[in-house]
Amino acid sequence: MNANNKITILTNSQIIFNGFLYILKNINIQTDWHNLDIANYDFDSNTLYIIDSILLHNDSVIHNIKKNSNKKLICLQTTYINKEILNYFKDFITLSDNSEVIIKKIQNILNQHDDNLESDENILSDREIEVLKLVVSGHQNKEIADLLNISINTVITHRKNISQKTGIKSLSGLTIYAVLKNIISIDNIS
Amino acid sequence: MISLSTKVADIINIYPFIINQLEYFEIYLPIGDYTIKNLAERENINPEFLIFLFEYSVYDKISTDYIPQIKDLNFILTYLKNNHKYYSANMFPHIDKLLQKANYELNSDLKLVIKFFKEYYSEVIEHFDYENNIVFPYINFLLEKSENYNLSSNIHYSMEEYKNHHDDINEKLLDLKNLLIKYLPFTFDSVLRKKLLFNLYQLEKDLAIHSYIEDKILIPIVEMLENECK
Repeated sequence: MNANNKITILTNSQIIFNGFLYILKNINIQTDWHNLDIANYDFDSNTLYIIDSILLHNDSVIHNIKKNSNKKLICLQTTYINKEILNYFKDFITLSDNSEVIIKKIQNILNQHDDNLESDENILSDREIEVLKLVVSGHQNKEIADLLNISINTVITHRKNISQKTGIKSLSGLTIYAVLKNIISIDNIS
Repeated sequence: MISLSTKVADIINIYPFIINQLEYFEIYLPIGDYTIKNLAERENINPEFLIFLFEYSVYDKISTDYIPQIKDLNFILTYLKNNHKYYSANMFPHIDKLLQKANYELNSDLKLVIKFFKEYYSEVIEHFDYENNIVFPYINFLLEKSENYNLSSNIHYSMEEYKNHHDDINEKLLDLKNLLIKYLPFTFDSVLRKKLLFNLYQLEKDLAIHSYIEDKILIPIVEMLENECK
């Protein structure tokens, strides 16, 4: 993660900006507020922009958003916005999203540029991810072997490799890992 | 190098966490110009044991000069009991407070970490309870019996059983460290992350010494005692 990262909220509304400041107060990232001319703005690639949809009112604004759709843009849906325009954004936030969801969405976009956090040799294979999913959802080795049609020894080898690659051995530790990596959803665990 | 003539204050100057180790023996600062030899005499502790303890703490080096012996059991038990007390009354509540302080309603990742830490915490406490309630009383009984051979009791226990029960309590601690170092996303409060890590390092080091004393010193000594009482 780049220390130059920052979040800029593009909105005319003080309420919306202060709301974001409150939600993001535990996140160590500089957050500011601009009321700039989106139509002619050159978006910075280190900044995550949250753009109030009410500002997307004319074609030149939308054209510039489209041009910058490779940047980290999130749409804040305060008004109706058509699906095609929404596609220019990496994600969207609605007024009914709770703090947790909003943080997760922002986090996901900030982390997308962090793929090189893991070296190639430590990326779990598809099979290992399958095994991990079953392990953290409480299946025993024997059950996993039956479900995946492999021998128990193979399951054990996979588990060993998973722990070696991730550096995490315990079931609870692996569960947190799987949630952080979006391999399982937090709702699937008690 | 640490020797009999090394001043304890000099060791504390390079590695202040030694203060914890001293407190497990109920030795508190100020320490003046005490050397290891003087301090060991004053406190009735085998000086070689102190050298072992300090070298392990400061340099991660295990001195081979210390030879476990039955007469050391008293101060070793004091050390271990106080060590247990320190974790349950001090270290764990401190880390717990750090976690609680974070405004975690907002962060589901942090909630998972707290849950994980609590699991780990209760595992360690269970391990301590077992030693406090079963192992230490058994050792006390052996000590009494070695004085009074006719003493009988219905305690059916042995170090063999302890060895089997003595499983690895370190695994979850290492996992927790790796989650903090490698995986918890950037958005996780960085001040909290750092504080937690520093505390976990301290805990890990302390527990490593603790386990070494139990496995390589306490168990052999008690086995000698068992043989004497046979």
